Amino acid sequence: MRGLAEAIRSRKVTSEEAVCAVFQSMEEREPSLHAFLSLWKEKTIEEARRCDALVREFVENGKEDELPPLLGVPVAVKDNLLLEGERTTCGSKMLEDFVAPYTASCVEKLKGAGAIILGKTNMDEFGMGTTTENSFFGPTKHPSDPKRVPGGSSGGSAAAVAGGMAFAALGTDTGGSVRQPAGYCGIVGLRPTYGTVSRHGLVAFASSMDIAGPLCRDVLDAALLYNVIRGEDTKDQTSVPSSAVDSEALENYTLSGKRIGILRPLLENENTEEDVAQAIQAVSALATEKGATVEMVDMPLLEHAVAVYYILSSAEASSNLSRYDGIRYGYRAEGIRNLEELYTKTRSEGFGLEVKRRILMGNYVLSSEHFEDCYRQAERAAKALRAEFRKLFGKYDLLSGPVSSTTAPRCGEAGKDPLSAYISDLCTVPASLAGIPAVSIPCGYDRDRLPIGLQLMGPCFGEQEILGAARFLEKEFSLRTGKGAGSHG
Amino acid sequence: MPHRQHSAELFRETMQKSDSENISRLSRLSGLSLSEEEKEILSEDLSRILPYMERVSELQMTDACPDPEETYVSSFREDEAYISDVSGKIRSCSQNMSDGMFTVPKTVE
Repeated sequence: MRGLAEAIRSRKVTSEEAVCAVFQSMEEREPSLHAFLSLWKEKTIEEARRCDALVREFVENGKEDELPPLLGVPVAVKDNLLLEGERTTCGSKMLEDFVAPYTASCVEKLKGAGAIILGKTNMDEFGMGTTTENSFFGPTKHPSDPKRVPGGSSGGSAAAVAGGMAFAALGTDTGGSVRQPAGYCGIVGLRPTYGTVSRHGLVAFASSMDIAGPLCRDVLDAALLYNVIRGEDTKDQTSVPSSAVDSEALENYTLSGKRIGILRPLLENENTEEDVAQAIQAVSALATEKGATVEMVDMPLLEHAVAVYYILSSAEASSNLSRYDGIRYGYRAEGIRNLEELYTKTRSEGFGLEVKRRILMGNYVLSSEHFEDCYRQAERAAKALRAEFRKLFGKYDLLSGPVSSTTAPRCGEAGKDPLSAYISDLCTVPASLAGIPAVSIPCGYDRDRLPIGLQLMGPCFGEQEILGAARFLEKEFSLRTGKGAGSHG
Repeated sequence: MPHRQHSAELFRETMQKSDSENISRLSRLSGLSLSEEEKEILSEDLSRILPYMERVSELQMTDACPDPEETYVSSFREDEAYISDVSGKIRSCSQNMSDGMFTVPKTVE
């Protein structure tokens, strides 16, 4: 991404050429991958031409340093982030024809940096899922193996970047929905510290955990995109000030002297595939070789992290999705006889099965009989988890583990057993509950050549630390595999 | 502790009611009207998911005093009076409008 931005600024390539190349790639791959729900080819090319004209004008006036950092770079945006005047479906029949009346703050920032939004990507309905098979509009396929899933819920964004159809993308992460698809597809995915990226214009799923994050081909691109989209926003009272990541410092980061804790429950559980475990152990050995102290860390509360996450997220989802009543926007059922039927028929026809499941779960834990012992208890457990993480970060610079216990599963497998699908979120939900930043980077392949993702977690506002470590490891992996370090930007 | 035992018993009593009763009640709370096939699928799913979630009730947790290390950042913007007319944009989101108002089924006979 940043390589393209630089090439456009220096006029080695035009934005129009880059956009046409992306659409050429789409013609070949999109029919089989189905990463996008909306694409605007003509509009995107026109915008690219405007960007090129701007570059010419600024360069001719000697002002190329004043050009926005991502001018002319085509990027994709997950379809739960509003873009004014365009469809935002959230992968749901409920919003199939919904046209956004305003643009999300993080997307405005992306546009302000000069990026061209070339389309909206496929996703599990309302962010609920781990495979992108819960999209009303059909699944997205894994770019390396179309018999497998790209992960979810930001599977479309991950497939678009990994499949060469976008130079970068925005996804959203509630319980792992940026990190896990990044891990499955072999790219970089960052979940920022909660609140550092505004949620204004991000369609709500679980408001205390939702956040937009970058999916990119390398760590430096992810850092740049994070710097663009972050920032306190008066339209989101949960947003907080944060510092930009220093890219030069990322390049100079070393693991020597760092203390890294590998969370034992994430690595040593019954679902961890052998190849994944070996890859993480190899990373541990590499880090030790480079001067880090690496230890296994026990965190007993992690045993309940998935349950806590699904209690809290379902409760919030059941509340957030109560707005879909067929009155002011979205799908409205036909043949209704009274107001109650308007609500129930609209919601029953507009929502898919997984969304219904989560709404039922949410209403269960919020019902008067179970509120205290489910919801309140989960709140206490989440608070205790945050305290445990703070204590651990007093001892360790980074915490680590696989981003998923497995590599990308085959299509149709996850839907067979919802509980197993939920339990597969074990590696990612702790960071979500704690509000801490976490990044997924590729760290190898399994025996079927499927990517394996390593997750690095840091304390709140620790993006510099986790991206520094990620960049260091990324360069080391590249040296060992012979591929260029960070050469995909 | 008695509090925790009571919750486990309550849960077991809840699950002993027929799945049909539970699903019907939950779907009413959720504003959903489920087909028979959905009721069967979701009953089966919830009969496994809810006990898994319910394990949280057995954790020994207390409402500890506010953690001094957990700070809450809240920024309030200054009050600023300005004309904000977004009614046109709101209306543009609906197909069910008449005279600038949302149309709904009759609620009062």
